[in-house]
This record gives sequence, structure tokens and C-alpha cells, in this order.
Amino acid sequence: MFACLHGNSPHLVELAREFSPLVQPIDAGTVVFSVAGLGRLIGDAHAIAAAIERSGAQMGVTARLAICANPSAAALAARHLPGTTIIAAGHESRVLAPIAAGALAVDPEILLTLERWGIRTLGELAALPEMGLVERWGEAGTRLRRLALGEGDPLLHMARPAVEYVLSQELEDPIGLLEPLLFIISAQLHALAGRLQQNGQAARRITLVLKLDDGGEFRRVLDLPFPMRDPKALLKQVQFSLDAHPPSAATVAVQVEMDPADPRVVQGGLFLPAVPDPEKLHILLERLRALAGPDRAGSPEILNTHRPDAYCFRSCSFAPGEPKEEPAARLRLAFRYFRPPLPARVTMQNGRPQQIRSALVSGEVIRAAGPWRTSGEWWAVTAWNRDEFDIVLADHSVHRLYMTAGQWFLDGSYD
Amino acid sequence: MTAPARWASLSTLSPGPDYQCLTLGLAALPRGAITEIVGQPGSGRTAVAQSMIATATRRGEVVAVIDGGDSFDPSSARRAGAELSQVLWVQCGHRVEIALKATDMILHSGGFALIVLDLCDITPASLARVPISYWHRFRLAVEHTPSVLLVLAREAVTRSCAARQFALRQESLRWRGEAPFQLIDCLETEAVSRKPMGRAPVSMDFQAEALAEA
Repeated sequence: MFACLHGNSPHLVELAREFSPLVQPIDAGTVVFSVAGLGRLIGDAHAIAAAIERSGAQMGVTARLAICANPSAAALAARHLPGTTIIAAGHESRVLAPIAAGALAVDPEILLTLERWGIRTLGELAALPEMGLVERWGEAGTRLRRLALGEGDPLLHMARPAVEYVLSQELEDPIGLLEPLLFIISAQLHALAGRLQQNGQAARRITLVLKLDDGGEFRRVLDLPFPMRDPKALLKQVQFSLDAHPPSAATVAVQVEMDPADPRVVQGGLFLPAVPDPEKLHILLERLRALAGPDRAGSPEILNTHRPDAYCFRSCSFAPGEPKEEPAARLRLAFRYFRPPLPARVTMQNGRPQQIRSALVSGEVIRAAGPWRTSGEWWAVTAWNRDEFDIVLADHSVHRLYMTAGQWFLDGSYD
Repeated sequence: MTAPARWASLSTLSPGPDYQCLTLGLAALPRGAITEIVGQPGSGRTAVAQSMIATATRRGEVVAVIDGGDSFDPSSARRAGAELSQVLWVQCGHRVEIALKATDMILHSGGFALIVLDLCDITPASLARVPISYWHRFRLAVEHTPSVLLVLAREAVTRSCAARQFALRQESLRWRGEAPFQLIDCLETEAVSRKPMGRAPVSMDFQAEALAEA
């Protein structure tokens, strides 16, 4: 059983949702909704119509109402028959018969042809032989006749109600500490995460708005690296953000808003190696950056330059990958940097380093190779120009020593 | 036919397939345990670690490098064959407490095949102050996981908590070219298994020609 409301009120959908979650707005002035199952709750079709009219009157909605077993017939009746129309099952064609054939939403050329034939109403159209309509218009002819008989598409194409992911709470007493504030936020995050899960979505952004005791407003927007809806992971994100940027005064009201997005879909593999869970990895990175420093954790990326020790950190996103070919069996000599380079005092003899002294490395140079002159990026502030030596000290440690602008530095060691 | 081979490969991490017969203990690091490599500067500790990083990342696994002395060279690791996109690098600024806390976080986070804790540049005095309970905590955290915790240091620090321990010692440094413009050719190192003991030392060569290429 379906009902249709037709009118100019902007609250038609709202009125329909009072009675059913299955609502299909057809156009700006017409809404079809299911009233199946209301029989036990309200009564027969007349009682349901009366209930809808009462609710409409309370909401200030003036509209035509039709109740019918078929949504297409209900829409036709509501649009073109005055007042409230209740069509019993099997009587659709008789009730719809007086409606003009031009009321059907079909190809204008078909309507023009019908007019030339002298077909003015749906009753006259329904009386035409089905085979003739099919021979002339094919599938459209069948549909035309079914609509005229009140046997249109029996399914609703429902529109999902717009779900708002916002929760607000005013506090009885101002909260100055982060821990009780996070307790309040946690409850809101759990409620919103449940709402996200109910609608098959995840959050890609969290907006936290705190009204402060001094009349100000504290706003933090957290862009998540990928959509997530685990409330614990979301709470950790908020916690890290508030730890790093706490509000300036006590909080008197909390509002949490989430921007929904489709959840991340990952295809697993039985034989793929395990990698860190993305949610856990993001939290881990935040914790490591809070511990070691904001720019001291991540995946290394070598910059496209010949400048020594040119790298940057980029955000981690590990994915299990197919194994690649094993590296060459030969072991490679590695280098370790002193960051920053160690200033050194160097004693030279015949143009060769003979003795070095620095804060960490000192000793007699027993072998030296160089100088190797390197320079580059003279056009930028990152320009370098230096003479390098590979040196072996008496303790057999091997280092790279360089001189730039008259100063000696230890760059690192081979290990 | 590839599946059994992959499962088998998950049980070990080695510096290289052809090196397994030469490197004895280094060829088969036990998962779910602490392995320690000690040695003085120039003994090849970092080269062995980077080779293991390369092996793990080439298998599609993820590696964490906790860099106690901010000394990790991504270029060196890439020359060794590492996939840097599979590496998490944490710089600890010569602060041992940060290195230990970061290791704890990463161990408990899970999903890392190899966790390299590089303490080579931490002073012995700082390392001596680390309570042994840290190492017991790490041993328990890595136990029953498919991870390897590899600790690099000048002297042994993990005491009884390491399942394997190797000491590296530089044998010689070979040069090529004419003086004075010579290039380092090869570092020869001897690896001795301290835990378990009684195994014959293993000689290893670390080639350096690729450094000049880059």
C-alpha cells in the first residue's frame, strides 16, 4: 500500500517521513511513500488517510492525498484528482479513467498520436488493444497501457534521508582539564561512529568546536588520512590534537561534527606479508611525532639532487606488496651520517690530514684519500662546495672529512 | 608451488640468499626474538642491518628503523636494495629514552617484520643506565610475533634477553686506484657468533664501489 502527497508545501517529505522511512520524492510537489504495515498500527486506509491529514494540518501542509496499492497510480490520483482519494485494490483503472491522457509522463510524440486518434482519457487509452500498442510503440506501448490501468512500477526508488553527523552538548559546569573533556567527546564520537556504521559510511574529517568560558570559540579540524569509523582511533586523533593545541580556557559546550565518506575497502591476501594496520599506524605515527618531534618520523624519501644527505620525510602508507627480486647477494658498505656534521680541527701535512680532533672522533690519520671536490646548486641557498677526504684513523674507523669555507667537518663514517 | 616457499621465507631474514652458507647465524635470524650485533665503528654493523632491511622490504614486508643517533643514511639503504617506501624511520636525537620508548610503541603496534634499534652512537654511559627490565619487556613484546628486533650497538646491551648475538670486527680495508686519489674498494669483516658460542667465525666482504656511482 502506498500513499502520495501532492501540493506546494515544502514540508511534504517531512510529513511523509512521519509515517514511513520508505519515501520517494518524485518532483518538488509530489512525494510517494509506503504505508504498508500501518494497518495494525493505525487502521484501514481511511484511518491512515485521516491520520495523515491530521498530521498535515498540524504541520500546516495543504496537499492532495491518494492511497493505492500502486505508487504510480497513487501519484496519478494525487496529482489529478481533488481532495483525498482512496483506491481499493483492483479498482485503479476505473478511478483513473477520467484523468486526461496527457497526464502521463511519456514521449510527447506518443501523446500527440493519441490525441490524433481521439484518445482523451486514461479510460479510453486502457480500452485500446495491448497488441496494437505493442506493435506500434514496442515496450513503451506496454508501459503506456499499464500506467493507464493503474499497474505501473510497483517499486519505490527511495531517497536516503540526509543524515547529519553533528552532536552538541552544553556542560553544566566548565571543564578545564583535558581528561574529563575527552570523556565527553568520547561519548559523542561513539554515538557518531555508530551512526556512520548504521549508514555504511566512515569519517574523513572531524570538526571539533568548543565554546569557552571566556566567550571565545575553539575550533579544530582534523583531516584524516583515510576514512575511518573506529571510535577509539578517532578519539586518539582528537586527543593528540588537543594535547598539541589545548583550548585557552575552560569549556562550556562541545560540538563534534564528522564529514562522511565511503569507507576504505582493502583486498587482503592469504600469502601477502602482514603490514601495520592503517588506523594503528596513523596513531603510532602521531605518537612517535609527539615523542621524537614533528619532523622526525616517517618514510624517508631521497630528494632529486646530488646534494649530500638530501632527504625528507613523507607520510607512511604501507601496503602489502608482492615480493620483488632479492637484492644482490653482495653486501654493500654503508655510511652513517653525523647530523649535524661534527666541526673538527685538522692538522695538515703535505696537503694531507694528519691529525683530527672533534667532540666525538679524534686521532691520528693513518691513511687518507682525496681531496674529492664536489659542488652544486650554486643558484640556491642550498648551494654546497667542499673538498672531501676519506680517512682511516688509528683505531681503524673510516670517516669522511670535508672542508667548506675554510672550516673542517666530519660528515660521517663508513660502517 | 610458490606458497610453501613464501611461508618458508617468513621464518627467516637473511642478508642475502647466497650468503646464508657463509654467514652461519646471520643467515637465520629467529623471528619473535631479539638479535644483537655489536662492533666498533667500521666493522660493518650498519651494512649488515641495511642488507637485512633490503631483504625484508624486497619481500613486501615493513621495517622500522629507530635511529638513536640520527645517523641512518637513506641513500646507503637504497643502494643496498631497500625499498624506502616500506621503511618507517624515527630519529631520536641521541636520546636513548626516546629510542626505547619508540621501540616499545612500534613493538606493540605490530605489523613490522624487522625493527632495527640503532644504538651505535649512544654513549656507553647512557646505555649502562638503561634498566634491564626494558630489554625483558622488549623480549616479551616481540615473543610470539613474526618480528625480529635487531639491536645495533658498540658493546652488548641486551644481556640475557637476546636470542642471538654477533660481534663484528674489521679485518682489513682494501683500496683501489693510485695514491692520493684512491677509493675504498672493500671492507673485510669477521663475524663471531657469541650466542650461541662455539661456531667458527665468518668472513664477510662489503663492497664499496656503488658509493662512487651515486
